[in-house]
Amino acid sequence: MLIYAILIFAAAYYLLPLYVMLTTSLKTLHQVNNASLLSLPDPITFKPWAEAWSSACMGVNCSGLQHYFWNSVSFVLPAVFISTVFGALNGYVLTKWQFRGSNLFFGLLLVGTFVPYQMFLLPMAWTLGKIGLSNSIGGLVLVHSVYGLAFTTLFCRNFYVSMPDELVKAARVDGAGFIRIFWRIVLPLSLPILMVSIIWQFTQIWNDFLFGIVFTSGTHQPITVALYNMVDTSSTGIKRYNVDMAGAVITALPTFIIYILAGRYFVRGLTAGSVKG
Amino acid sequence: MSVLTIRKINKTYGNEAVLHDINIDMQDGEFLILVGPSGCGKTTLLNMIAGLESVTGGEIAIDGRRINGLGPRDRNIAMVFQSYALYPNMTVRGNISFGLEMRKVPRPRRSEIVNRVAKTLQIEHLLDRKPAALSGGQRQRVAIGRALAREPSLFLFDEPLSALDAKLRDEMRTELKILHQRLKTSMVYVTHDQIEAMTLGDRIAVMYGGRVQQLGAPQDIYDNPTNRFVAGFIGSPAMNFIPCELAEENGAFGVRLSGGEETRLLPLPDAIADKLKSWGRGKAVLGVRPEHVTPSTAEQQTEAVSCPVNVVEPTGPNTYVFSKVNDVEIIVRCTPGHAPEAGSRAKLEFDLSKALFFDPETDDRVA
Amino acid sequence: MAANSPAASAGTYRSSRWREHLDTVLPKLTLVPTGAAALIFLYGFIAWTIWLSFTKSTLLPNNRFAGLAQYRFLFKLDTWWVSVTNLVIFGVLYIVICLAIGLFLAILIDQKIRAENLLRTIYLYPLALSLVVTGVAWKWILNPDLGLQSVVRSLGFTHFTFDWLVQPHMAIYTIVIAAVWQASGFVMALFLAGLRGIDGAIIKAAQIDGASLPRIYLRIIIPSLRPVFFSAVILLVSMAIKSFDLIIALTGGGPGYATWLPAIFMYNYGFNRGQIGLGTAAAVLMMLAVALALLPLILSELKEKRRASTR
Ligand SMILES: Nc1ncnc2c1ncn2[C@@H]1O[C@H](COP(=O)(O)OP(=O)(O)OP(=O)(O)O)[C@@H](O)[C@H]1O
Ligand SMILES: [Mg+2]
Repeated sequence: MLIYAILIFAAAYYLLPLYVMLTTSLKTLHQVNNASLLSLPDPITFKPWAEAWSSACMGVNCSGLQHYFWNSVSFVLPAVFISTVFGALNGYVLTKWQFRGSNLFFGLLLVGTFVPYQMFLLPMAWTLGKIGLSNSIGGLVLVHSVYGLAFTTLFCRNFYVSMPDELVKAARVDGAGFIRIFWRIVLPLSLPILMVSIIWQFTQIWNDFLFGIVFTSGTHQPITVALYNMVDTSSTGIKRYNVDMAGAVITALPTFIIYILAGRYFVRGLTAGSVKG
Repeated sequence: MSVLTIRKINKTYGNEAVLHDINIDMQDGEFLILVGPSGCGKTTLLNMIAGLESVTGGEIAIDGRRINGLGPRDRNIAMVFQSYALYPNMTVRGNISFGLEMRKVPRPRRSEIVNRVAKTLQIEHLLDRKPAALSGGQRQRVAIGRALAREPSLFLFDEPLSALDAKLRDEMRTELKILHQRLKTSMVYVTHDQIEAMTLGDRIAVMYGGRVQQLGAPQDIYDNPTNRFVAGFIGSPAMNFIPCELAEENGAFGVRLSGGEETRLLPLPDAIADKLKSWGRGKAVLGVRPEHVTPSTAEQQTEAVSCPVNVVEPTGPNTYVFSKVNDVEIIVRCTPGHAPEAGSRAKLEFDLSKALFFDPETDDRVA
Repeated sequence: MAANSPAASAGTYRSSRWREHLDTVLPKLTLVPTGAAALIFLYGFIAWTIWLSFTKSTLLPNNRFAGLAQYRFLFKLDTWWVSVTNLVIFGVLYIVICLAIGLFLAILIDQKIRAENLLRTIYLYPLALSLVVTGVAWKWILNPDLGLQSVVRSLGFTHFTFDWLVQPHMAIYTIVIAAVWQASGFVMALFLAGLRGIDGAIIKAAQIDGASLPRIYLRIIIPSLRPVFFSAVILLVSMAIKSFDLIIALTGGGPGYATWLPAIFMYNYGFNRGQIGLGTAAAVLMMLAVALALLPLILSELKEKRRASTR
């Protein structure tokens, strides 16, 4: 029973912030300021949500998070797609069509999973400016696709390594070439790893803050940066914690839902990503 | 006409040479076995025939056409893999017809062929299943079916039965033999199981260390191996190898054998003696198969050697006796009921007309 | 099926050679975009950043060589040393606490617990949340006016104080709290996977030998989790050194610059203060820190593997 007590206590610790976020986001500002942090909302109000979504201020711009939410959607989806497609193709080549130097190629690419992103920020900011992509959705798509490649390639390579080579040999004897083997045999078997790659990339890119704050400003920012600005703005006047929390929940919602629906793949991605090489 | 000609094939991986000057000529309709221990290069050679591995040196021709640079799809071959390599995402039907589809065979013709093949292999009821829902033996059939659908001029099998359990393996072996007799298509069959090699092959190529040690009919290889490796590899239990001295006493040329007590000189038949004499050395390795050594029943036999009986192993049809001659362990095959008792001594007769002799240094056969 | 007449065979031969050629070229071609991206955006940028750290670049990059001047200047800055000290405090606590909590929870969950899936889900969900969200939530919970402090006070402990968030010397520990909350569940998941991979027969054999359960864990199970420790530490080290979002959202680096980490330092100097040379020098040192922290780990793990394989 002691075990259960400890485990439940731990669960409470992990759930506390979620509980506080949700309850606070449903409270009136009056209740936030006068009742306990842990009290249940009474009365329940959805106004903080509405405000966070459509009228909260980031600096002087008071149109809520919604615009930034769609910003995030519009660069996350292409970046996830591009990095996953190339990750799968790279993994396929690096395991089933090895050539002299292909292992070296993989090793050099893996370095990308370790180097702190700070090493890329300044040159990237300058480059994006030169190619006309600074402060744009396109720029974020490029950045996230590029720096996700090492991870997606790692996932897919490790998956394809355990797929028997004889499958590819049999298909070659049957008369299929590089593209058709991928399309007809390898890809249909890749669903589990594609899920891992997509979910991993989605959470990484959706949750990114560093690239967002460095490479964009104003109306092109992703939702994580907008949330930060919103909280920062509100802290200069009266602190409206209920709106802040509603904003936080809105920001967290997409990745949270994915986690609840497909946590299995999420965990697999993490463990695969941590066992490098 | 020869369906497959392999001339001076070499293969190196980096600096490591895995195949050395392989020469094989295969007649149309032949069932050729490549047999040898693990790592001797069987799969590599088969993959080179299939076009799945590049050729480092030499020439391969199928149907008289040089195919060195051709891809696997243009070699008119079909291959069955050890792990079956069925496409897990396709049904059995899809697996069998995939090769036809890649070769742009029209759809109605494809389903005709699939049905015919399925009938041949009695897998009609499995056509709409995925490989995961098949037993090992059924997967094996589908893998063979995939090869049959293509009507190639040459079938390549890479240890197709090694993943099956013993009973199923025996059944499939017989079926394969029947299939070959009916189709009369040439087959190259890789195995490391010498029983499979003996029973299936028209000819056997025994490989070792990246070389073909001997190529010939099964019985011929069994009776006349060219070196100690082949002699020891083919046959089960393996041939006994006894280091011994050659000597001439009272005009009789023979080998000295000792079971731990007195040493006997057993005279050799003239044909063998002549060869050994012209070879001219005093020491050789005697090779004698377990069935050519028998416990003698007569009390005073001049040509028998008294040997210890260490272990007796009945296997049903035969009983094997482990003994020691010239300080090396040997195996003797006895009929059940006639085996001596463990711990006793027995007089062993050696049928030296079937004896082989090997050079102790080079392992080549000298007589 | 194959046409064997000489003329036709010459034709198929040529087209076959062409398709074979395609199959050797296409794979390499597929890697070209990734290779180019790695060459430019990975290695090119690393070289470029290293180069910039040796120049006099300020608001804009320039190529006037400055030798080690930026590094020398950096080492004189109080903000840099605060960042480094914070990184050490934060890094050590973060890694040690995460490992401890993670291992402890994993062992408990491994005792054939009811509702295991639910508990695992609860422990792990913080990792799915953005660190900005984490920071915003903890900022609210830890704020002295309305947060935990006031909750405890309202329970009767009127003198209870928990105001680390605004105490320059304590603020870094609030970051540890939030960061541990975010990542310890993940370490638990790693350890749990490791525990599940251990052959149950070993435990049974030890039990038959008369070993007590704590002893079995201490002597047999935990040592065999060595590879898991290895990957967990690697991951935590690189997450600690990269930490940025959480601090910005939770403390903004403050009070003052009390909770700066090298990543914040780099961002502030490189982008806000127009000191590109300094910012890149900080980035280079961060990369070196990752390398220095991970290389010994990786080498020792490799050695261990070699020892195991020769045994
Ligand atoms: N890609 C490769 N690179 C380097 N060496 C290789 C490669 N493939 C095979 N070899 C080596 O070539 C030799 C022959 O291998 P091969 O697979 O042909 O053996 P095999 O006779 O089929 O053995 P088995 O019965 O175990 O299947 C082995 O020593 C193997 O280590
Ligand atoms: Mg093999």
